[in-house]
Amino acid sequence: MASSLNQPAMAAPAASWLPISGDVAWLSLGLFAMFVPTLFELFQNNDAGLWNKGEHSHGPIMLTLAMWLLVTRWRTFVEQSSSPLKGHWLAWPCYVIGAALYVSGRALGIIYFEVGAFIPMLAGLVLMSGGLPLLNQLKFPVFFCIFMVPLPGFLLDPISHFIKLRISISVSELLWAFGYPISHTGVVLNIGPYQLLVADACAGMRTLFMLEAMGIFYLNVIKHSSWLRNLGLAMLIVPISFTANMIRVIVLTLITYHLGDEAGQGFLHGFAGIVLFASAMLLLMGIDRMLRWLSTRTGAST
Amino acid sequence: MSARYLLPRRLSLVAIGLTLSIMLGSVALAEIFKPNKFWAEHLGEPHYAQIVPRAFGDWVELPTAGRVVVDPVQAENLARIYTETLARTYVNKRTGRVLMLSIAYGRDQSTDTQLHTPEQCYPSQGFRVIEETDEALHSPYGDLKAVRMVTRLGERPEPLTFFIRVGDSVVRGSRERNLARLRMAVQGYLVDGMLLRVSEISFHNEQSFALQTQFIDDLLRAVRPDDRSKLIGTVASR
Repeated sequence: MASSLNQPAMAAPAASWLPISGDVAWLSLGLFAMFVPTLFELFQNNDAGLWNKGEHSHGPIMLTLAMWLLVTRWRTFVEQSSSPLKGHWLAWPCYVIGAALYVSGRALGIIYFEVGAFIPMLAGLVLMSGGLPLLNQLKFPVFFCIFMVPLPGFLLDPISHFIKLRISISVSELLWAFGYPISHTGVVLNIGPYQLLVADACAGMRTLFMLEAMGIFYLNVIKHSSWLRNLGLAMLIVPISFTANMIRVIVLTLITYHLGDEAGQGFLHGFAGIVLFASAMLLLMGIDRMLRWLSTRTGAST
Repeated sequence: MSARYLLPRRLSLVAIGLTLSIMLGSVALAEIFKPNKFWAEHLGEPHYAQIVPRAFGDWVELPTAGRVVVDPVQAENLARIYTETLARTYVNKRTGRVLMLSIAYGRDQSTDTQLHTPEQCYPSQGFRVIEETDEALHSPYGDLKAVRMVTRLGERPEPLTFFIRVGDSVVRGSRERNLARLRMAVQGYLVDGMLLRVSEISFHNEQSFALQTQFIDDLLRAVRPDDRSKLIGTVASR
């Protein structure tokens, strides 16, 4: 009698007090000690504060999304308390890899090592708390953290440059076809009396990366049953973000040409950013619709 | 008794303790190994406008009457990336040929505010890169790992020579630059970086390259030895 009353009493306060157990709280403290300084440096307002700057400013959004998913999915985890923690020991190699990345990254100033170390450390923490079953449930949020790691310059710069050049060429050819006096030299657009530089922040790797991350997030949360739709959308995100970037540059160019330089660089520059995301989302949703229509049609015919 | 239920533990104290010591230990180790000295301070802060003489050898600075129009966006970007930039035009007294010298200096190269090389910035300004060759310049102070490029903007041909110093040595390419940065970081230094570029508007590439090499030689001879290390480092090339 007494013991049967005790059983729920043991579980209930733990659940209401904290969604996590005491083990996790302790381990999280260590994780905080490691990465709060990193976060602080990423956010500071100077050259080292990468998350304050164009190319990497998607980092905080990615971290927030990953953590939100992590917490919500962790809470739904049902443990088989009867079996011992499976794959529990795998936490140790994860910790060692994470610590090695962290120390070398922080000491030598390799920021993608330092931030990247968060992923094995987090995986280790998850393994230690719930073994492989828990990691299996949380693998997507842990993986998603990869999108917050600032990309190294040797990877970012050539791709960014390629995209900017392609966009400059496409925009000038398109507007030329519509009769605008436009030409481009490299990534500099000349329209009428104005000269516009297609900068990194305007049409670089960042928006592509961010839209790809958002797309993957969207796919994971929506969880389509149709493989055609999942795969199709994941691949189509690249051309979608390219098109959205092009629309943004066209909008900016036309604003500058018709309303003047001040309008193009002022308030409307921010507006063009909204246009970018709005058009990307509309394109994504439109194509999603189309794919759904296609898959139901093929599903019906077979 | 009930306090135990608030934060139930299941892992052994040993596991938690070991994990925490790995985590906190890596924080401490990183702090110990982190470089905290600026190589720029070790060198003595370079001020290239003073280091580079206005006249040396056969070269005299050509005063530019009307200043060049500077794009404010670009100026802001330059200020963000570089601690100091220097652009001068020199005329050779004997031949009358005109060379453009440009130096860009960044005090702290340990983050992503790294020097932008002509390989990237010439094409983005609309120049076509026709040819690019690695060239070791044999200076009296050691071989310099330089790069020669033949570029063209419309009908304007611009052969150029440039080299990059990172910390104590002249290096070529992004891999070598990062390795130099890591090597200096292991020694406890935060590196600085400098890019020196000489170019001429000319159709005669070989002649122009020879003149550019001559210019760099003359310049290195003209500066004081400790200023020279601010241009080419102490171990000219590795």
